[in-house]
Parts: sequence; C-alpha cells; structure tokens
Amino acid sequence: MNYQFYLLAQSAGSAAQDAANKTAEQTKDIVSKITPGKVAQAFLVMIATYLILKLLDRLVIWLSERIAKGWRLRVKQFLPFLRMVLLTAVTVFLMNLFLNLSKENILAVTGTIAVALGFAFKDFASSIIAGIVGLFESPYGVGDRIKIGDYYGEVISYGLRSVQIQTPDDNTITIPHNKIWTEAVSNANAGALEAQVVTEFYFAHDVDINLAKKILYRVAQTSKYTSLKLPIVVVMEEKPWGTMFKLKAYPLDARDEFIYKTDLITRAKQTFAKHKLTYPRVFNTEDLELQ
Amino acid sequence: MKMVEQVAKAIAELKNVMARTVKRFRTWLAAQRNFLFARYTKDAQETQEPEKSLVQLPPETRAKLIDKVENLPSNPADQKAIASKLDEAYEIWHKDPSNADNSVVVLSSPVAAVSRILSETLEEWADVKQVRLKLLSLKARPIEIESIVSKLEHHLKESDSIKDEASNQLEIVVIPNLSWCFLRSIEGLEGIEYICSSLCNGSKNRFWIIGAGQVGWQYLNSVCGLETYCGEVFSLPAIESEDLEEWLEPIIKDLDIAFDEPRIDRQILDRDKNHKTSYFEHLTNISKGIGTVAIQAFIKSIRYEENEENEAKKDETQPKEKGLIAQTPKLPQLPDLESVDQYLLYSLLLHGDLSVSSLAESLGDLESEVQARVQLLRREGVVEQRGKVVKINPIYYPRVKQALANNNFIINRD
Repeated sequence: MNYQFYLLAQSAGSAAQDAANKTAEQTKDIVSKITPGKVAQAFLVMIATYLILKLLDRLVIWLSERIAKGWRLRVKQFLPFLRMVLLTAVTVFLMNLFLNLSKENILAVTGTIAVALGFAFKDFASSIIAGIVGLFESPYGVGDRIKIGDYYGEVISYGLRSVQIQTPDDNTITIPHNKIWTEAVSNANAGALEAQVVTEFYFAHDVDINLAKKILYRVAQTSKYTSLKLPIVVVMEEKPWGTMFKLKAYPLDARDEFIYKTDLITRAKQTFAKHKLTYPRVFNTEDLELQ
Repeated sequence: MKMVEQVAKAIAELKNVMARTVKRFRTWLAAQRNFLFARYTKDAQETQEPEKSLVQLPPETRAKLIDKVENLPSNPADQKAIASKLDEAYEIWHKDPSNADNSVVVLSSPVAAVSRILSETLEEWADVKQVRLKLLSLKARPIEIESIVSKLEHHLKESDSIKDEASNQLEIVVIPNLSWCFLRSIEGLEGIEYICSSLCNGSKNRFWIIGAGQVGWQYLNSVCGLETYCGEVFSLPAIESEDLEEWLEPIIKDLDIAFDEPRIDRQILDRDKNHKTSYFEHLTNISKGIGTVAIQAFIKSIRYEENEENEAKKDETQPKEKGLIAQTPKLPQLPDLESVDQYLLYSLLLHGDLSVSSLAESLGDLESEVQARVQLLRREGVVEQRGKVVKINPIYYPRVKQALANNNFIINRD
C-alpha cells in the first residue's frame, strides 16, 4: 500500500516537474531576450507617449475652442479615439519589443493578462473596458452635459479609466467609466451644441393664463441666447398652491445654460410685475413641503 | 496642319479647365478659410500687411470722394429689379384685389439702406402707375418701442374711401423699412403683430409694399410667422460686375481713377481682360454682390500714387504728377470676437441700425456694458456710430455674417 502511495507521489512529482519545465519553456518562448537597450527604448517610448498624449489633449481642446462653434463638439469628441489609437499602437509596440508574438503566444499572453487583471485589478479593468465600450456606445462624449448619480456638468476629459466633468460650481469630478454598467447616464445634448433648458414659473390659480403664456413665449423668443431653430414650448401643471408653468427652450450654446435661465427669469419677472400677475401665496410652509 | 490646330485647341481647352479648377479651388478656399485658417483670421495680434489707404489722400480729394459716394443714387439694377417685381405683383392684385396677395416684400442685405432704394424706386413707379402712395413716415425706430402700435395706427389709418370696399379708390401703403417697426424685446414685437393683423383684416383696396433686411425678416418669420401673412417675397439680386462698373463710372471718370495691375493669380486667370474689368470682377466677388460692401471696398482700395506711365515720358526736373489708383480690393480681417460681441453684432444685423439704449434693450443687458463693447468694436472698425445710431460697417458684413453663421446664429450663409 505504502509502495503504491510512493509510486503515485513520485509520478505526481515528476508530472509537476514536467509541467513546470513546460511552462518555463513556454515563457522562454514568449519572452524575448531583455536587454538594457530594449528597456531604454521602452522607457523612451513611454515618455514620448505621455508627452504626445498631453500635447494631443491640449491641441485638440485648443483647436476646438477656436474654430466655429458648430465644430466644437465634433473636434472634442475625436480626442478619445486619438488617445485610444495611440495607446493601442504603443501597447503593440511594447509587446513586440519584449515578447515573441506568434499566433499561439498572443493567445497565451492575452489569456494570462486577462486572468491576472481580472483578479488583481477587477474595477480598473472594468473601467477600461467600459471606456472602450463607451467610445462606440457613446453615452457621453467630451463637451456633453451629463448627469451621473448626483453629479451634473460638462464632460471636459474622456480618459482611459474615467471621465472628468466640470460642475456649474467649477468643481472637477472624476467618475470611473464602469458607472455606465450600473448607473443611469443622463445626457442633455448628446453631441449637439444646444441643450434644452427648462425654467419653472409659479402663479396663483387666478392668473390670466393666456397672458402668462404669451409673455413666456415672448421672453424666450426675444432672448439673445435662444436658438430659434429649435422649438419653444410652454407647458402647465396644476398644484394645490398654484399653477406651475414650464418654459422649455434651447440656448444657442449649451454652455450658456445658466446665464440663459437667468436672462429668461429676469426679463419674465420684469414683465410679470408690469402686468401685475399674481404669484401663489403660501400660508403654511409645511403644506409646501408636503408637495 | 489640321493636327496642329487640334493640338492648339486641346491646349487651349486644357488651359481653360485648369483656370476653372484654380478658380473653383480659390472660391472653396475663401469659403473655408474661417475653419481652416481660424487662427489667422481671429488673431488680433497678427500684424497685417501695411496698407496705403484713403488716409494718404489729400483731405480735399478724400472729402470729394466720400461726398461723391454718399450722393451716389441707388444702384439702378436694384431699382429696375424692384420695379419689374412690383409691376408683376401689382397687376395680379389689381385684377382681383379680394383674392390675390395684397403685398410684396423687398428684402435687402442688412447693411443696405432698403428704405432709400425703395423710396427712390417708388417715386417713379407710382407716377407711371398713377396710384396713390401712402408712405409710412417713420425715419427711425421710436425711442419708446411701446409706442410703436399707436404710431402705426396713426400713420396707417384707413380713410373712409379706402374702408369702403365697394369704392374704386386704391391705395399703396409703403413701409420703407420694417426694422423700424420692431425691437427684439418682449413688447417690441407688437408693431409686427399690428402689421400682420392689418395685412389680413385691412381694407381690400390696399396694396402693401414692405422693405426689410434679410436677417430681421428671418427672425420675424421664426417668431411671428410673418411670411405667411405676406404675398411675394423678393430678395434684391446680387450686383453683377458690369452693373457695378457702370454704377461707379461717374466717380471714376470725375476723379480720374486709374486701375492698378491685378495680382499675379488674377493676371493668369484673366489674361485677356483689362485691369478695370478684372478689378470689378474681383470687387463683385469679394463683396458677394452687395452694393454697400462693394462701395466701401472700392473706397478702401483707392490710394494716391505717382503716375509712373506719365512720369516716364516727362522731364525728371519737373514735379512728379500724382493720381488716384484703385488697387486690388480686399476685405479687412475680422478681429477676435468674444461671444458677447457675436450677440451684439447679430442684434445689429437683426435691426439694421439702432441706438445704444435700444441695442441694450434688445440684448437684455445694461446700457453701460453695451456701450463699452460698442466702443471696443467701433475702435476696431467693425461697427460705426453716427450720432446715437450704431450699425455694422458694411465692409465687415461678409465676414461677420460668416462668423455668426459658423456660431449657430440664424443667418443664411449665402
């Protein structure tokens, strides 16, 4: 019995030894000879890539801000593709430098990397894959005005792992791309220059509805910011404390969203005062909170 | 022999094709330059080629030239085109006033004085047609735009004979410049609403002739649907180079203006044309056929120069004779425009001309802020101010229009 165990253990040991030798042979096949020259070359390539990426970022953003507005987003949204092309090219170059890339070796290497990344950098890998998927699915692009979770703002950078948005308060928020797997992404302009702005106005129930509507239409039609190529709509909603009017219109440039809203409210309120339109009167703040 | 002729013919044909291709490429390049060379067109720091310009003219010659340009009658080609269109529309309406369209709209570029063109054309036209003209006697936009409806009611009041549709009394109502009847503000569109209502519900014995700027017209169509109330809408045609030459001929003759050699590329393209013809073709091309732009570019192209042809024949001891030379005309570069300037310039194109306070009202900004931007643009030469009235300098119009169209404003590119 003991002898049988001894034989089994010995054969298992030799099998493990064979497997280890085989793996060592395979690794030897895949990894080419690493020389100081190759390391230096790789180092230089990586520095150059970093500098080119920075230069590309600056160049594309600079160009997009100087050309006609109609082209702004199109140029900006080209940036992630340029980055992806450059990074792919550099990755291929580095792999070619250090690995013997036969068909079998590529399969082996990618499999190994996938497994390693899957365990060690699960979220990181997930974000990168989401970033690549996002390039084709386009839930957002540079220049779009998006809302992910509680954060709203303009996308200012589309990185390998994350997207950066600038909020109306001028904060920069970094959100990993893998949020697109689980969170709803709200995109206000989706590559267009205009984004709808909804401005709410409140009146008492006895307000002259036609007059209020006419003023609201005129307010939007005469604002210097309004894009008249797109529709202007006024919709109403009844509330227990009064009537709510929503003025929906588009500014010529989505960036003017807040200044546009301010312009609409300022001029509308001046006209309401002139016509003495009545605002809702709230007697009890608790009632209001209940709504 | 026949073969030689064929080869010569083929070469000539090839030359023509090449010339056409070069011309097309140049036109395309000119159209795309705002995108392709935005850096160069927008950089205010960029030094431009030094120009020998009008300032070099002696003051009396300069004054004479400007005086002659200001007293130039409206372009006869425009007058002819308007008269022909009016004849056509009026005849149709005259045959059946109850059912035919009772109005014609004449659209001009926002930098052209449409009221002047219309009034000069209509004087003669009304005499020929033997009809009574009722000219809206507004000379500018009312300071208080809220009063526009009462002013229109007063000026356009229908007499009893016109009200009586059974009578044969006909009347032509002329609104020489629709821009003076509105302001882009909440209450500034009421004048247009009144005109729409009069066009629809007014007496059938009235025929309306309305002059308007293209940008203002587009805006009013978007917000009031004005076009649906009006009949024929007619845009003034682009001026042809021969007509432009004929129009400016009295000034050229009077001041004895000679024409400089065209640029080398034009010399190749227009080999068989004289300098004058080549000059006017180029002028028409850069001004997009707009008379006021062409005139400004014409003035800017004139300089004072020693007449070398005559000098060669003369004794060197005698004082050199100087003459007026028209150089290759060109439009100035547009300075770097901030978005606040773009809104301001669009407002100026929309209204044609307006006071700073009206401009501020139309922009929804404070007058002091607007005044500051106007000063800046005035210094750059993009806008000009006469008294209290501000308007775009016509020579910048093609480039301003292109810049605004590129930035999403409602404006036709052509």
